[in-house]
Amino acid sequence: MAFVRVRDVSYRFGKRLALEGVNFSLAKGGFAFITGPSGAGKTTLLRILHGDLPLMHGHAVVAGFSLNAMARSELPLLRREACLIFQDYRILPERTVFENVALPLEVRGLPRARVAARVAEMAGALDLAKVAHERCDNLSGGERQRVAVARALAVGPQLILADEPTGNLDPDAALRLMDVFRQANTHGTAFIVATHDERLPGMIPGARLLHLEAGRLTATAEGGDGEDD
Amino acid sequence: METVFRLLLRGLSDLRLKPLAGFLIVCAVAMAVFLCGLFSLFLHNLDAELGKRHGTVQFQVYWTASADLARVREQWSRLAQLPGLEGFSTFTPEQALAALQDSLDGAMDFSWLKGSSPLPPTALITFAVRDHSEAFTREMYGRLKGLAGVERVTFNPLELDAASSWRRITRTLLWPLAGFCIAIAALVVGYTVRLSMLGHQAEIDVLRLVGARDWYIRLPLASSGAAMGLAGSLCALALLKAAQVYLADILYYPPVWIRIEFIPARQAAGLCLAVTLVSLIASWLAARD
Ligand SMILES: Nc1ncnc2c1ncn2[C@@H]1O[C@H](COP(=O)(O)OP(=O)(O)OP(=O)(O)O)[C@@H](O)[C@H]1O
Ligand SMILES: [Mg+2]
Repeated sequence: MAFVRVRDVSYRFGKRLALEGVNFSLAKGGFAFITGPSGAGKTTLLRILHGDLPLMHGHAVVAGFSLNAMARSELPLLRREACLIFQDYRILPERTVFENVALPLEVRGLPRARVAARVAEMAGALDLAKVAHERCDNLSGGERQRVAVARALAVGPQLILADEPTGNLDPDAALRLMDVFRQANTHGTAFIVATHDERLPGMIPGARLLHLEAGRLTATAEGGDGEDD
Repeated sequence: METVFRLLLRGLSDLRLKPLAGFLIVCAVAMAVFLCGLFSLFLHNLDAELGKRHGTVQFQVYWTASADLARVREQWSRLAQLPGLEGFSTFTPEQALAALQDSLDGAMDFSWLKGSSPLPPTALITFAVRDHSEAFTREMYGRLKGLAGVERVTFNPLELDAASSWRRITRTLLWPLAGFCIAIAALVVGYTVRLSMLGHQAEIDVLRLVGARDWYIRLPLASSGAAMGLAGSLCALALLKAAQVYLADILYYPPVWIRIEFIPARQAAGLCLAVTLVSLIASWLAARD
């Protein structure tokens, strides 16, 4: 079974068509960018792949799970292998950075000591060590964004779906974040990153480039990791 | 197992994140349970009073006209010792004659019968009857009938019937009413606790996003829901106790003499348990998507 394969996927919000006949594939450990203007359907596509929106039309396989044939009870398993970093972070404001990043690790039943070690490691990698015990509603936008990234990276999933992960970061921080992504990628984590930022794809050599325009995939620049359709 | 324990504890410690909301929920639960408790306090006392004032039963005992008066007097003095006696009047043949003449307003003159009254000695005995009224009446009837020289015994069960039919009414009507009241309290408690879980929606969503299974999400909610239910029902019982102490003597004057008692411990424990259980179930169900 393919690692990520999307065949003829369409999605409508009521009458509005958000995605139309999208096709693409990604090999295990691959890296893809989805670019496109605001409203093109980037978030919609990522949410479908994360099982957050139902697959209305078409076929999709994500991290070895077929979204067409998957039982509801399998959704947690899919989400442990494919983590989504939301455009609006979806972190818990009244909890500390530490608690937020620890959440997916605790959900997997890891022992406390390992959770603490892993959270500390992620906080170091994403410049969050100083605010680790701060409540998240006391953080800046960029810090919150990095908390969301740390939470996704902490569990070392097979696939990370990132929606505008650098939207609130200054160019320097964006560069550092891409470096963290690249390191994780060399350790085998696949990425699908949605972004407006034209400069991002250049930071990951060999990444696959998908361009969405009004719900349609208009161009795919092949990188080394892409599987042919 | 350790995870389960940790999740239950997390539910409890999460209560401190939103102390005001938790406090308000506990108050709402306490009010609903308090009202329900007041009703059951009322029912319990009503039932107890009806049980106590179960009514009276009156026996009329007729001796044979030829009975030896000295022995009858001796029997009377023994009957006067019976427990539960509420009224005891006796009539010798002469007294009976005088009473008869009185009741006829002197329309007839029985003075010629003086000294040789044809009327038998009689006694009018009234008992307060509590529990097992029918058995008591039957037994007492047999006992009186068996006295030497007694010819006839009649009794008036009217008051007895009235009391027991009141009790039957409370049993058949009020207890379903109590059930209804409990159901309403359960709904109020259930929905209140469920509403409180709306405040956790963001957390529930995030847990789902990071791949938490259903029970992992629900367990802490259930433990905090149960804790709030328990706290609320304990508060309600404390309030109820205070109300009972305050009201205890309000009806304690003649001729009612009702002292309001607290509901039995078993009923109180049952109330607590039911509320806690309802809160637990409501919060478990609240995490449905
Ligand atoms: N919940 C929703 N209800 C109705 N329409 C929606 C909803 N979410 C998105 N849409 C519509 O679907 C289309 C695609 O939206 P989407 O969020 O996927 O765009 P996007 O590419 O992520 O944009 P951006 O770069 O601004 O984040 C848009 O036209 C949007 O208005
Ligand atoms: Mg978007």
